[in-house]
Amino acid sequence: MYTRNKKDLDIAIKKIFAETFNIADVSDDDSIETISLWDSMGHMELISRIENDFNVRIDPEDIIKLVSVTSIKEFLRGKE
Amino acid sequence: MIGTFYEKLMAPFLRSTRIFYKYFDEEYTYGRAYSLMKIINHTLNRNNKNRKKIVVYGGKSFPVYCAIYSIILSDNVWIPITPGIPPDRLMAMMELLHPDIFLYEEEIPQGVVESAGKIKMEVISLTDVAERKESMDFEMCKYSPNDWAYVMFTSGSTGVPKGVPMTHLNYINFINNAMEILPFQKGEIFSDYHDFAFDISIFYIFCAPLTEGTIAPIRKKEERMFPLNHIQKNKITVWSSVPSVIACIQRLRPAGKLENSIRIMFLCGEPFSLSILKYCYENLDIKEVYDFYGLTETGVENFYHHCSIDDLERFREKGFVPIGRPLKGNDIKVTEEKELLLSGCQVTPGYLGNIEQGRFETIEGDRWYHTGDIVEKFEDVYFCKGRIDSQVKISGHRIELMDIEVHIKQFPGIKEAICFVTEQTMGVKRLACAVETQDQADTVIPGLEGWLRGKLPEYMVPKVIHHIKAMPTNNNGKIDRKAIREMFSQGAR
Repeated sequence: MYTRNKKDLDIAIKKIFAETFNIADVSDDDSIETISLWDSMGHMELISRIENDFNVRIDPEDIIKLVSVTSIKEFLRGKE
Repeated sequence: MIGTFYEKLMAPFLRSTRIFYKYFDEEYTYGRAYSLMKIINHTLNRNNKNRKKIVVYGGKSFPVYCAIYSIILSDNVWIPITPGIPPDRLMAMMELLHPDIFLYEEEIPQGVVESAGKIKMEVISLTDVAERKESMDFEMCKYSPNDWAYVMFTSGSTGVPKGVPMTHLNYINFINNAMEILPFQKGEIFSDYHDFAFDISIFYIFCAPLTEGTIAPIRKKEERMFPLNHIQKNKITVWSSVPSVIACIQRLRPAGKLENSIRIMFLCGEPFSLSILKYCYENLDIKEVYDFYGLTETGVENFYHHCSIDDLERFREKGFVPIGRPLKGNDIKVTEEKELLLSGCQVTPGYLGNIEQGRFETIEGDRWYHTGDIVEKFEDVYFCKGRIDSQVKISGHRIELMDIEVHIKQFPGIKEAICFVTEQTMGVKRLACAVETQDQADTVIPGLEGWLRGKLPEYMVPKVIHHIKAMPTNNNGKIDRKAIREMFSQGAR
């Protein structure tokens, strides 16, 4: 179960994006349209990082919806 | 033969009531397409009936398709350019090509309009043209088999893309082969996954009208990343792409049957693994699966293999589907070094600017193209085993690693750069590079990646950049590419 607060979530997401896509400071406005390295291969890396770091299981139906920073944060908050 | 081909291509636009273009709720019939084609024809050809080189700078909208058919049917030369290409690269291509018209639908880079005067190129907005009323019927032209029909660009080792002209005869021979081999039915629904500037586009641009089919393009990045949704919603019956796209679906949905309507699967452009073939049969339940092999310089595709379920056992030790046997109209030779040479009616007349003439060789009166690909015969089929040079293939794009390295070395502070490919899970490849800085520091170089993105198309920008203090060298003092590749093969993203 994921129980961190909003600030912790922001920091954790920033770290994942920095390490997966070389993005120093990801913002809530970022998505697959703004991050060029976020392609199909990058997406699978991102999903597996999220699954490991947050100890969650993401279904295929959700994997295809998590295409923006906001949608990822909302998804994780829903797992709290 | 050429005239008959274009008459057949034109026929559905004149008579068919079927849907030609479909993008979710947006649908256009062949009749609507023909009306717009005539309007575009009027703009392009009313005052000047000479053959023209016409750039089309746009995505996969309905007007762009209409423009392509207008250009080809009026015997002009089509040059597809994918929007978003870095301005310097685009201008280098324009200087090599000297187009007569630049037809655009998306915002064009600064510099195109300024330099248009210099190279006497007319810049026209396709959106404006589509709103015009005047139209002009198509006259059947006296197409000459050896006149250019289109020009595509491939990566070149000097940092400037190579222009590859294709004649009517070159590409029509491939299309005629495809029409004969593939069990098409009337009214197929074709996926259109890749950019126009990737010559697999020739397959669906021409096969769709010849089967009175519908083109259902993929237009957004999200659709490209998750194509299954597109396949299901549009009820795609003919799929064409590189095998990695199927690998992406496989990663997301590794088990279970996936509902879809695909009957014909046309894969090409990179090695096609047996695990993907198995997935096509067992999870996607596709009846007709084909592997095609070819090059931009030799008319899209030159070999094909019709897969069968027995291939999984027959080629088990190889791990891959073979490229099969040559298509009609193609002759092959394999050199002692196992390099594949191609001859016949699909070989390009030569690169723009007459560069790299060494790739063409005349042997006993026939002109042969050195593909640079190593092939091996197994029983009655051929397998492609890699390259003899530093060219690599990623997601179907052939890339000269030196083309990228030239640009990296222009970045301030970089002394040396070596690019290489890392293999990811399920055979997906990614581009990486190792750089050595002039002060031999191994710190991050800010801005390099963004700078490269301004110089090279997205698929040529390395996905990961490693910094090393000094390049390893071999006994001859040359940079040891293999050692660098091995150094980063573990842990590289």
